[in-house]
Amino acid sequence: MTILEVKSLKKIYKTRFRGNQVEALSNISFSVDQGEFIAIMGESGSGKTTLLNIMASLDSPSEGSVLLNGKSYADIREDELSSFRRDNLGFVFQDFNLLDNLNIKDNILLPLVLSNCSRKVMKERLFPLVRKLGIENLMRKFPYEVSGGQKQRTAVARSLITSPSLILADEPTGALDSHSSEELLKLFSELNREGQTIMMVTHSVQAAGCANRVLFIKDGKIICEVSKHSPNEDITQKIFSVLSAISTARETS
Amino acid sequence: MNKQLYRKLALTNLKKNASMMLPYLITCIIVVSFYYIVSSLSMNTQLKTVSSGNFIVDVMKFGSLLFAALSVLFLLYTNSFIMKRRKKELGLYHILGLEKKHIRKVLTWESAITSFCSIASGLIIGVVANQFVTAILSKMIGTKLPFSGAISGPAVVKTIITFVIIFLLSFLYNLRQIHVANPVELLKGGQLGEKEPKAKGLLAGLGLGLLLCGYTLSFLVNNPEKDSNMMLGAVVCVLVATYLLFIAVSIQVLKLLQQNEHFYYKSKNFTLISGMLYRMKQNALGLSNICILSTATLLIMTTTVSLYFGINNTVANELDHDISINAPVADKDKVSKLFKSIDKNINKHSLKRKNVLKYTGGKFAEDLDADGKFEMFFLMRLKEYNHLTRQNMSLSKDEVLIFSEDPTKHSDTLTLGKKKLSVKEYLKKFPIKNNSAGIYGQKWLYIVSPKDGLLADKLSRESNLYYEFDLTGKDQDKSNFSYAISKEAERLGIQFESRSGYHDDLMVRFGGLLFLGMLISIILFMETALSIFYKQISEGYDDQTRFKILKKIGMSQKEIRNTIRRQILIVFFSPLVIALLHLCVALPLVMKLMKIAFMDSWAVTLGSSAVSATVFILIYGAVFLLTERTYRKIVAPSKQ
Ligand SMILES: Nc1ncnc2c1ncn2[C@@H]1O[C@H](COP(=O)(O)OP(=O)(O)O)[C@@H](O)[C@H]1O
Ligand SMILES: [Mg+2]
Repeated sequence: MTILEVKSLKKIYKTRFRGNQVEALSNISFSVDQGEFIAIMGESGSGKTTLLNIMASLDSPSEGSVLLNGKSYADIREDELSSFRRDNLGFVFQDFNLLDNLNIKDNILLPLVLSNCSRKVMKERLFPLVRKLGIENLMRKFPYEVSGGQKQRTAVARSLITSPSLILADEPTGALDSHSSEELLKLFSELNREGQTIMMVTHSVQAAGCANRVLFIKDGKIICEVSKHSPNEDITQKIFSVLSAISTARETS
Repeated sequence: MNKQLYRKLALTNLKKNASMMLPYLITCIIVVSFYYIVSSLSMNTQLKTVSSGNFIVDVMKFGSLLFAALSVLFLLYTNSFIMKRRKKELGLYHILGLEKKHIRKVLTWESAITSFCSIASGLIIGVVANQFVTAILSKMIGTKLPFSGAISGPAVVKTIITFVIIFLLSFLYNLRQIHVANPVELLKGGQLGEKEPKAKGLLAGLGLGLLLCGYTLSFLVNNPEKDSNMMLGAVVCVLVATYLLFIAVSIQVLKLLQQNEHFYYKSKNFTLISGMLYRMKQNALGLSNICILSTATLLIMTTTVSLYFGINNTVANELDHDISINAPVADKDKVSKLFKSIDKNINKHSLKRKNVLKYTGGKFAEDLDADGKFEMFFLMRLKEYNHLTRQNMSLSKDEVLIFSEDPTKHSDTLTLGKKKLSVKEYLKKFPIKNNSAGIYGQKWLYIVSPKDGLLADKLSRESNLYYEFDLTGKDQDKSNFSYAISKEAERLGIQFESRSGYHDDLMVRFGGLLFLGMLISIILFMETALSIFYKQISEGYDDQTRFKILKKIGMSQKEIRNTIRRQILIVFFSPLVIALLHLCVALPLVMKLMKIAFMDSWAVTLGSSAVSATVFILIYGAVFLLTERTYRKIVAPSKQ
C-alpha cells in the first residue's frame, strides 16, 4: 500500500542577489509504500534536505504535489498543517533539535502535549517506548547532560510517540560517533521490521545499506535507485558502485 | 592597514547594527539634551533674581547630578547588552585575521563616531529645545523668566565634559571585553548552555516575609519626620523583597505550576512555563531593576504632581487667612501707617474684607507641666478673648482657660516657676490659629489669662498685635493688593504674609520640582523601556533556535505567536504590576510625607497617582507593542 506519493516536484529558490534562481529540485517523483525503509543519498547541495523539508510540509514546492495517505498537502489549511505534521510525521535531525530547557521526558512528550493529549495517553505511550530505546533512566536529565547517542535516541522517541505513518530523518548519524551510529541504525532496522515506514537522508554507505531501497539524487533529480530483493541482501557493494559512477561522471563532464 | 580602512569598517559596522544601535543612540541623545537643559538652568545667574529662583537653581543642580549618575548606570548597562550581542561579529573578525589591536582600532573609531554624534545632536536638540522648555517652565511656575533660553556656554562645556567621560567609560569597558575574551569565546557569543534554575524555597519565603514586613512598616509610620528609621526600614525591606520576588518567588511559582501535571502538560502552558523557567535566571535581576525603576518613576511622578496640584490645599493649611500681619505693640506708628495703606489699597483694588480678626497676645515657650520640656503657648488676655468670642467670662487671678491643639494633653493645674495656676476650663475651640509649625510640628496651647493674672506680666513686657482677614473679590486683584501691601510692609519692617504671595512662591518651588520630576520621569522611563527592550531583543536571538525547533515539531505559527505574546506580556507586565502594587501600598505613606509640606488632601494625591499610573501604563504599553513586534520578527519571521 502506498502511503506517500511525490509527484513531479520542483523547487526554485529565488536568491536576493540580482534575482538569481537556484533550482534545488527538478521534477522528482517517487512513492513510498507502507513498511518501506528508504535511504536518500547524494552529494552535498544536491537537494536532499529540500526534498525532505517539502515531504515534511515544512516548505512548499514551486510545482508538483505531495500526498500522504492520499491527502495532498496543498489541500490542508496552513493552520491545520502543523497539527497534521505532528500527528502523521516524525522527525529526526542531524543536530537532534532537542529543546535545552526541557528534560528528556518532556522533550519526548512535546508532540503529545502540543496535541493536548490526556495525561493517561502520555503515560501509556511513554514508558514502553523509552524502555525499548533504553533511555528510561534519563527521564529527568537535560539534553546537555546526556551523550550524543542518547540525544538522538531521545529524538527518535519523540518522533515515534505520536505513532506517525512516516519517519523522516535527515542525516541522523551525521553527528554521532561510529558506535552510536551503529546503535541507531540497528534501532531503525528493528523499528522497520516492526512495520515502521522510514525515510532517511544519509552520506554513509553503511547507513544506506540498512535500507531496503536507496534513491540517488543529483542536481535535484533522482538519477537511479537500488533496492534489496530480499530483506537480508547486502547492497553495500551496489551502492558503492553507483556512487563511484556518479563521481566519475562528474569528473569527466 | 590604514586609518581609512578602520573608519570604513567602523561605519559599516554601525550601519549593519543600526536596529540594535538606534534605540541606544536615541537615548544617548535625549539624555545629553536633558542634561544640557538642566545644567543651563542650574548655571543661570538670572534665574536667581526670580523670587524663590534660588530654590529652582538648587533643584536643577541636584537634577544634573542625578542625570549624570543615571546616565553612567544606564548607558553602561545598555552598552554591555549590545556588546554581548556583538561578540560573535568581533570574533569573526578575529578569525578573518584581524588582531586584537586592529579590532581595538575599529572599536575606537566606532566609539568616536557614536559619541560625537550623540553629544553633538544632543547639544543641538538641547539648545533648540531650551527655548520651549524655558517657556514651559515659566508657565509651570507661573512667573515670567528674565531670559529666553539662549545658548549657555558653560553648560555646553559641562555637558561635553560629562558625556565624554561617560562614553570613555563604556569604551574602556568594551576594550576590556575584547581583551579578556579568547576568539572561540567571542564566536560563541551569548550562546552558552545554562542550567535550569534550582528551586529556592527558603529565599522565596524570605522574600514574601520581607515584603509583608516592609508593607506593614510603611503603614506603621505615623510621623515621617520622627519615624524616619522605620521609613528607611520599610524602603530597604521592599527593595530586597522585590529582588527576592523576582529571583526566588517567581521560580518557586513556576516550579509549582510545573509540578501540577494537569496544568503543565497542556499545549498552551507547556512551552510558556518551561521557557519562562529557563529564562528566569537571567531575567530575574533585570526584571527587579525594571520594577524598582518603575516604582521610583511612579513615586516621583505622584509626589511632584500632587505637590503642584495641591498648592491651594497647602496654602489653606499653612495660612489661616488671606492676609496676616503681626507686629510688636510698641511699633504702633508703623502699624497705623500700614493700616492706612491697607484701607487705601482695598478700595483701589475694589476688594472687601471679611472674617477680620484683630487681637494682641504673645508667643512664649515655658515649661508648664514641670516635665523639664518647654511647651509652646500663645497667651491672650481675657478681655480680648471675650471680645473675639462675644462672651463674658470671668477668671480669678490664678485661673486660666486653655485650648490645646493636642487633645491628649490634659491637666488641671499648670506650674510656671513657683507660680501655680488652675485651669478653669479646657476649651473645645479657639477663635484664632496662628501656629504655623505644620501638621507634624509642635502642638500649641492657647492660654487665656485675666488682666491681673499671674501670667499677665509676661504680656506687658512682650506682646504683639495680630491683624488677619480674608478678601472677597477677583483673584488678580487680591494678588495685586497682596503684592502692594507686602512691599509696604517690607519697607516698614512689619511681618506680613498673604495667601496669594505664598501661593506664587509655592508655584515657583513646586513648579520647579514638577518640572524636574517630569524630566526625571522621562529619563527613568526611557531607560527602563530601553533596558527591557534590549533584554527582550537579546533574548529573542537566544530563543530563535527554540522556536525553530518547535515549528519543526509541529507548533503552528499561530501557537508560536500566542506563546511569544504571552511570554513577553508576562515578562513586561510583571514588573509593572509589582510596581503598581508598591505604589498603592506606598500611598498612605506618601500622603503622610505630603503633610510635611502642609499638603493633606487625599483627593489630590489619589488623583495624581491615578494620572501618573495611567500615563505610565499607556507609554509602557506602547513600548510593549514595539518590543513584541521586534521580538517576533527575530524569533518567528512570517513567511515571504
Ligand atoms: N533557503 C534557501 N534559499 C536559497 N537556496 C537554497 C535554500 N536552501 C537550499 N538552497 C539551495 O538549494 C540547493 C539544495 O540544497 P539542500 O537541499 O540543502 O542540499 P543537501 O541537503 O543535499 O546538501 C543548494 O544549491 C542550496 O544552495
Ligand atoms: Mg542537507
